[in-house]
Amino acid sequence: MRFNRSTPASLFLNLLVVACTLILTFPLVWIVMMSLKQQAEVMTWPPRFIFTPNLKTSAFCSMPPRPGQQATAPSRLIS
Amino acid sequence: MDLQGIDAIGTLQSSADQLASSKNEQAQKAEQNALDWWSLAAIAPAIIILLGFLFLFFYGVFQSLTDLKFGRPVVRFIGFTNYEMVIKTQDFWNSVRATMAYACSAVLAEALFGLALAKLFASGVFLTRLMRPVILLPLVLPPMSVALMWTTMMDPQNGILNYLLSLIGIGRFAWISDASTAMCSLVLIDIWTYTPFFALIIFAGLQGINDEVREAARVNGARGWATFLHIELPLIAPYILIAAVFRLIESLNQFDIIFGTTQGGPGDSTSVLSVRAYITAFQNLAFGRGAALMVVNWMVVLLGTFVMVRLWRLVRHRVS
Repeated sequence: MRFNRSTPASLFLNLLVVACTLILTFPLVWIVMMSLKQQAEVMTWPPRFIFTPNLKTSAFCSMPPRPGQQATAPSRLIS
Repeated sequence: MDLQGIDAIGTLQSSADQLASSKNEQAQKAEQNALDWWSLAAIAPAIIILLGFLFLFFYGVFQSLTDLKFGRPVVRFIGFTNYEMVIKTQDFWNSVRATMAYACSAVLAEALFGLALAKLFASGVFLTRLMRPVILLPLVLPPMSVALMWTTMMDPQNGILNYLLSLIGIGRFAWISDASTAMCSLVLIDIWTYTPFFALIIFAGLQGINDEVREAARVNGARGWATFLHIELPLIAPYILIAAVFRLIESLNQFDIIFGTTQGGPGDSTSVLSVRAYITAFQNLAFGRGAALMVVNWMVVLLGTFVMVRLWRLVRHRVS
């Protein structure tokens, strides 16, 4: 048994679904974006959503400094 | 003639059945008395594993009664001294309070949001069919990466959450770096991660409700809100409670998310029992006292679970 919803109601529910999806996926998307940024871009304020992805210095090559620690010079392996 | 013959055959058969059945009974008795080696072999692995776990558990309990410490040559049995020492400190009661606050608020909020999410996705509007897999996304992430993810997002200097808040005109928030907001932030992380778990189970419960029930309610004049409150909610209450039992066990034991983000800090604000036990045992190397804290944690979990299961059985009994 399906109610036949009025158009505004179904539109509102769809919007709610979109909002929930955004909340659930945004942190993951943001972290994936962060993994493709360079160190300086990660630290900029305000944060940027549009950037040129950089696969070279992503997380696989250099670890970002942990919060609370001071940023160190890039490790010798890369330089 | 014919009838008599049939009769005779019938009596013969029945007596033969009786004979056979008495023989069978004898054989069954003999079988019952003999040890069934095959079934024993089948359950042996389970028993061995269970005994192994129980042994480890009791060894842990025994450890909590000794003054085991790293680098101490002689380990003495000191009874309940560890527990007394632990209970006397103010830190311990802070930890108990933090554990309770964390678990209760997280489970309550998750149940509410999970119910809302499940109801939304059960409404069957167009986008729900597309977005249903997305609910599972936070659940499949390892808790440690969830912790690291939120640590970077909640950074007070350049975290994205502060930026998003500044867009709607709210000033900077210290999140996990401030003692007063750290617990709320942790609960927020927990809610984000485990609300889908509630949503999933409640969604299954909602699917299980027969449409005829709803139709009957509608025929009897129940409007949308009344249907939900008086028909659906009592029917899915056992599902909510069983999910809450699982989540309560896990969140009273929660270690990875808390240790991954704040390590019990800042100050003492988020050091729940498991984190305090870990720090006592493996950073201060006082294994005996750490084991005592873990036993206390186990008792808290046992008590909480007991209450929840009783509640669940009560509700289920009332519904069915």
